[in-house]
Amino acid sequence: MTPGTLVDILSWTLMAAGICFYLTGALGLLRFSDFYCRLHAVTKTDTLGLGFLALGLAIASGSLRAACYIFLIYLIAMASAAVNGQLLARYKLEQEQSQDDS
Amino acid sequence: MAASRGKRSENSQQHGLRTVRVLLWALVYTATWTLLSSGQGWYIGIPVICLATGLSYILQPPSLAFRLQHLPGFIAYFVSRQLLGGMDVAKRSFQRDATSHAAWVHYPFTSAALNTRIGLSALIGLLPGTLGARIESDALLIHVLDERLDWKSEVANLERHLSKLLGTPARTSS
Repeated sequence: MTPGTLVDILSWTLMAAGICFYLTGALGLLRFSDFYCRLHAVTKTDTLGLGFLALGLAIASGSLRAACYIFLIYLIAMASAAVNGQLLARYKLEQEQSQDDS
Repeated sequence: MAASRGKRSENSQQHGLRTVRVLLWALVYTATWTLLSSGQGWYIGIPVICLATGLSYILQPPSLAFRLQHLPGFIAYFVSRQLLGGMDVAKRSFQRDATSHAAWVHYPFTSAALNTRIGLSALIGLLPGTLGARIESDALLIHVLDERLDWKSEVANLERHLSKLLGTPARTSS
């Protein structure tokens, strides 16, 4: 087995793991009981799925420059997911409280 | 008279500090755009950078300065917990009553620093079973997927790691 094949196997395995996490996130989105539980599914599994996908793509690219780009994009996406999850939860909570008050 | 002169000088110092911080944010946004677009698409980039800088001036985000020596430890901790968080939700998505013990809980902050509190409220959403929703005075309102789990230690550990990384010591209880 050549080193190129090993790199291919590793990168495809990581990307497949990433896709699996995306799929479980989608499943959680369909099966979890309420809005807040669904937010857990979206933020956690999607960020982890993107991490695996980014790592697989970085290895497959074979270029340090491309890997740095992918890493930077991943950091921005992770920060967005963390902040968006919290903002959506806060917005929904305030919406529910204002409905209860009126 | 002397007091008002002192206050004016303090105000102008604060204004200067705020301007320097906004300029630093503008530099970060410009560098990010340059890197991601390979220095192209400035007709979109310049308005986006101006908008982001303007928002930073209005909202005044807390400082992002951190202690470099604590960064590797923080990354190792955060990545391992993030992995567990994703696997936990993935496992629950196949279970029947995965969310029957979901609840709202309050976590009292041990750190008084604003940047630690904001970082904690956002990052806790990527850790196993917790999702920060709102900062309420000296506590964080968290939605947990399973209230029977030790969510408090999870949040306290992240707060401790963040305090070390950002150089904001935990508040001593009186």
